[in-house]
Parts: sequence; structure tokens; C-alpha cells
Amino acid sequence: MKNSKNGTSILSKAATGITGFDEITGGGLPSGRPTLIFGGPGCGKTLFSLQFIAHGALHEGENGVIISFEESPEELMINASSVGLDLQTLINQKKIAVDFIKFDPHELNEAGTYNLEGLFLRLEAVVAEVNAKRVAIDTLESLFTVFSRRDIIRAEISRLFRWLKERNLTTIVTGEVGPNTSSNSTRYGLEEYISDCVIYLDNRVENQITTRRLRIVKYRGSSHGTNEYPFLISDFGINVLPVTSIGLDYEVSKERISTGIPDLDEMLGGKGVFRGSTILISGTAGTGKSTMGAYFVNAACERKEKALFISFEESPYQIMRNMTSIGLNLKRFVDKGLLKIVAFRPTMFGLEMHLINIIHLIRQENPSVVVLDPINSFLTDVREHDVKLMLMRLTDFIKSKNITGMMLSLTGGGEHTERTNVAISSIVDTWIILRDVEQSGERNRGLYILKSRGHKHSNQIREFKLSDKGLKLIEVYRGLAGVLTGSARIAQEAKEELEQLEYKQEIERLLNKLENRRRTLENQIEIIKANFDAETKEIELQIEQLKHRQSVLEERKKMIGKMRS
Amino acid sequence: MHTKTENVRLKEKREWIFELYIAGQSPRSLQAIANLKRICEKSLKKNYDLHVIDVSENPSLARIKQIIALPTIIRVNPKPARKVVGDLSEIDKAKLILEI
Repeated sequence: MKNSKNGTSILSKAATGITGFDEITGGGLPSGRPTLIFGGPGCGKTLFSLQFIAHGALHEGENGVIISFEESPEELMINASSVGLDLQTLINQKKIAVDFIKFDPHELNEAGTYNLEGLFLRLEAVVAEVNAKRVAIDTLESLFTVFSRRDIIRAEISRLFRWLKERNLTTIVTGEVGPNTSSNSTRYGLEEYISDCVIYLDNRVENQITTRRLRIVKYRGSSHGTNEYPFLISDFGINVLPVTSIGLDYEVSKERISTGIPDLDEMLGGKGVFRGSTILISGTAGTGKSTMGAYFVNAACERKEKALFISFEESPYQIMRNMTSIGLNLKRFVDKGLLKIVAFRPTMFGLEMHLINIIHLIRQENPSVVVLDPINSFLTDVREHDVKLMLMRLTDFIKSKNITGMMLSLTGGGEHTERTNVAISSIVDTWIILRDVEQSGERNRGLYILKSRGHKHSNQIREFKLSDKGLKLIEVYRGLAGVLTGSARIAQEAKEELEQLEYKQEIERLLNKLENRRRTLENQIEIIKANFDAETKEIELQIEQLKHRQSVLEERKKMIGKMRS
Repeated sequence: MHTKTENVRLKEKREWIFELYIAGQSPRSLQAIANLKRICEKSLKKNYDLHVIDVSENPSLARIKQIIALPTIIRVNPKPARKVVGDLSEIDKAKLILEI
């Protein structure tokens, strides 16, 4: 933006309306100056020019002219309509004028000196016709193929640029890349004439996948990224994908949403994850990543929110069937229109095409949660850095929309889970790792939270199981011996159970002992009582006998008394 | 001073008809006119028409005739049309191209 340190002169920019490009250049092309755009055949330079001219006429109040050396107005119109631009209407409205300069090199001969005054007159006429502020000349280098006097053409091209600058016209001239494509220069050295802004468009094929890239070779007086920016040509025209187009200034939410697994929510401070955050779940094959993704969308749909599940491995039908086996019925949400499952083949398009497809899909569906399963399908082609950039752009995009994203990542068995995903860890907020915990000669599924920004989370490794009842985190053994899983946990638990049992038995033993003592005592009391009873009875009997004897004696006494009286 | 067209009419229709496109009265324009006249006078005697057209007065003609280099000479007759750019200072080459 700034031209000089004291800021007295600010370089003004002419917006191109090309998604992403205006962001990386801080506003567009240098206003009132010529810009060179060059690249190989089919690199998109004509389309770039068309979009620039059309955007000026439609949105900036700057009419434009197109001087076309290669394509007829009809061809240009078809080209423009392929990206949704209605050139004919703009021409009818006198907002755009097209001059098609047609040559047949075979019918043209030279004898003596000449200049290109005819070109200047024609240019002046069309510029005046629509009172143009913008000019596109596509492809200026054609002049070199038509005319043989290089000296004349060079002088005239210099004059042309002076002419354009004097009239303060924001201009795009296009050029073909030289025969040595690696040299990144134009065939006839057009860049020598242009000191302000030079842009290189590249269209290369790697692993049978075409990737388009844009690089700002030069932009005088303006800061610009020196990166190669991938771009795509979609139905909306050129989309440049800046590394971070949105920046880090999106609003963040304090709302927490469930992961669909209550136990996991519990581990994440009891409330789940922040809305609008990005969750990475990485793990080896078969650790249940897709299942976690399915739970996540399921929970969203249960909250009556829209969810998008993008799979790069399985078909929608396959996913729904597989999730039925763990008790998740996703089909009902698909039928209701709450859930959309989309499958892409990772190798079907280039990375950037995937990105734009995903972004397009997200814009269309406007979901509240998105699951990508798995992200590293893209890593099949070795460009890990590009994958990182792509995911960063995607993360930025979904964050800016306050969409909660879950990315599932497959890690190789022998690899270090933590290391393989380092590339993307910095862009995710919550990172959950599913791993095989190897202990005591067994492999068990373990889950832990490596990081979770902005809220407290459990540091435990939890063992979990997948069954037809779904995903279940098992209550961990949290003892003095540490967190244990699998049979080690079972052994430890058994050991503790045994100890428990021993205490219990000891108590029981003591209780029994007490009981026995009491019983013994009671028996003794019983015996004493019985003895006492027996004694009592004996004594009573004796008393009875004595009383009997006494009465007998009384009787006898009475009888003797009778007899004596 | 040249008018838009400068021709010498001897017959209803000449065998040779040339259109010479120039931009203003630049030395190069005048040179081209002189060179073409010289060739024609020498080889074709009076049997030719020469139309000198100043496109700076009517730029749309440059568009219609698909001209960007000036001077441009079009041999309209005899058919097929021939086009040559330059001030014809290379006279032999010019004669060869125009088949004079």
C-alpha cells in the first residue's frame, strides 16, 4: 500500500474483483499503470483480463476496453459466459468496448519502415468510445509474431506503455511464457517494459493433477506475498486462495457444543468443544475416527442443526450402513435434510479444486458442523506443505463462518501420531488422539486429549470400546500405579478386588468370632439356666415331698388324737 | 496537400488500384506516397488508381480494414488483394510483393 516512508504518495489500486487476488495485493492492480500477466497456454491470463475489465465496469464505475489479438469478440463472450460474465450486455451498455485485431501473418509483408500508429489510433478510438479507465491487451506479444522488425516493435511497445501511463489507464497486458518455462520469463521479454507489476500464472501437472498457481513476480511500491498462490477457475471465475485471506480476526464463540459422546464431553471440561472451533482427531486405522465423526454430526442433527459430512473414503451409503452397526441412525437426518453426506475421491481433482468444492458446498449448505474424513487422503501426493496450506485456508474459512469443524486424520501404524500431524496441529483448537496402547503384550484402544485451547481438559488416557451399542469410554483405573488399560487394568482391578475381599473376609471372620463367642456364652447361659431349672425342679420336688410328709404326719397326728379321745 | 483520395482518372476502371493508409503528414507518410507513386509511374504508367487514406482522420477505417501498422498499402486490384506495410523504401521488395 505504502509508496514512500513519509506516506505522501499512496499507490492507489484498482480492484480486480478476483476472489483472493485483491487481498494478497492489498487492493488489486496498480491504478493507472500497466501490469503484465504472463504464463503458458491456457493458464488463465485471458480470463484474468476479462474479469478485471468486467469488474471495473460492473462494480467500480470504471469502463474498459479489450484489445484482443487472439480471440474474436464471440470467443471472448463464450469465454466470459463460462464464468458467468455477460460481456454482450456490458458492450451494449457502452461500458465495455472490444477491438479484435486480426492478423493473417501470411498476407502481411513488409517493405521499408513503419510504426504502429494504427494500433494507437484504434486504441484511442475505443478508449474514447466508452470513456475507459481500464485496458486489457491480450496478447500483446502477438505483435512479435506478426511483424518481423523487432526493433520497431520494441520501440512501439515502449511508446505504448508511455501512452497508457500518460492517460492514466490501468492496463493488463498479457504475454506468453518463454520456451524455457523454468526461466519464468516471457518469450519476447515483455517484462523489461513493465516496472510496476508483473504476475506469473502457472499451470502445471503433477501426479496427473493440474494445479494452477499465481505468483507476483514484481509489484513496485506495494508489499505483496512472494508465495505461489494456488488458484482455480471455477464457475465464478478465478479464485486465488491466499494463505490466510481472512486473517485471525474472526469472532469467537463462548458457546460449547457436544461432541456426541458424553464421556468425551466430560473429559473436555464437561461441556464439549467451543462452537466454531476446529477439532482434529487422529489415529491409526480402525481406531474409530469415522465413528467419532458420525457421533459428532449425529449430535448436531439432534440439536436440529445442519451438518455436513465430507468423506474421501467411503460412499454416503456405506457410511450410513456402517454407522447403523454401532447403533447410529444417520439416514433419518439425511431424509430430513439436516445431514448431508458427500463423498469425493481425493485423486479426482487437484487440492485446490477440492478446496473450492468444499467451500462451495459449505456456502451452499450452510451447516453448523462439518466433518472431513479423512483429511490426509490428500497426502497421497507428497505435497504435505500444500495440504497444510489448504487445510489452513479451509480452517480459516469455516472459522469465519462460525462452523465447528472436525477433521479426521489417519496415521500410519509405525509412525508417531504426534509427529505426523505436526503440520496441521497449529491450526486446530482441540486435538484428540486415538491410539493403540501397547501394554503387557496387548493392544487396546486409547483416547486422550493432546490439547484443547481455551478450556480445561482431562489429561487421562481413556480406554474405549466400539460395540453395537456405540462408542463407550471405559471408566479408567486411576490408582497409585497410574492409568492402566486393558488386562493391566483388569489385573490391577483384580488385585484390588482381592485386597478388598481379604479385608472383607477378615471383618467377617471377626464378626463370626464375635458371634461364636456370643453363641458360646448364650449356650453356657442356657446350660446354667437349664441346670438351675433342673435344680429348681429338684428342690421343688423335695419341697413337695417334704410337704407331703408333713401332711401325712399331720393326718397321722389327727388320727391318733381321735383314737385317743 | 493531399486530399483523402488522390487519383488520376483516365479510364472508367483501372487495372491497378491501390489504397495507401497513412497517419497524418508525417515524413514517413510522404515518403510512402512518393515511393508508391514512383513505382507506379515507372512500371504502370497511368494505368493505376491511388487512394491515399489518412486514418488519423477516421480511425474506424483502421478497425474495418484491420490495420495497425502505418503506412499500409493494399493492392485492391488485381485480385487477390495484397497487403504490404512500410514506407516502401525497399523498392525492389515492394515491387515483388505488389507484383508490379
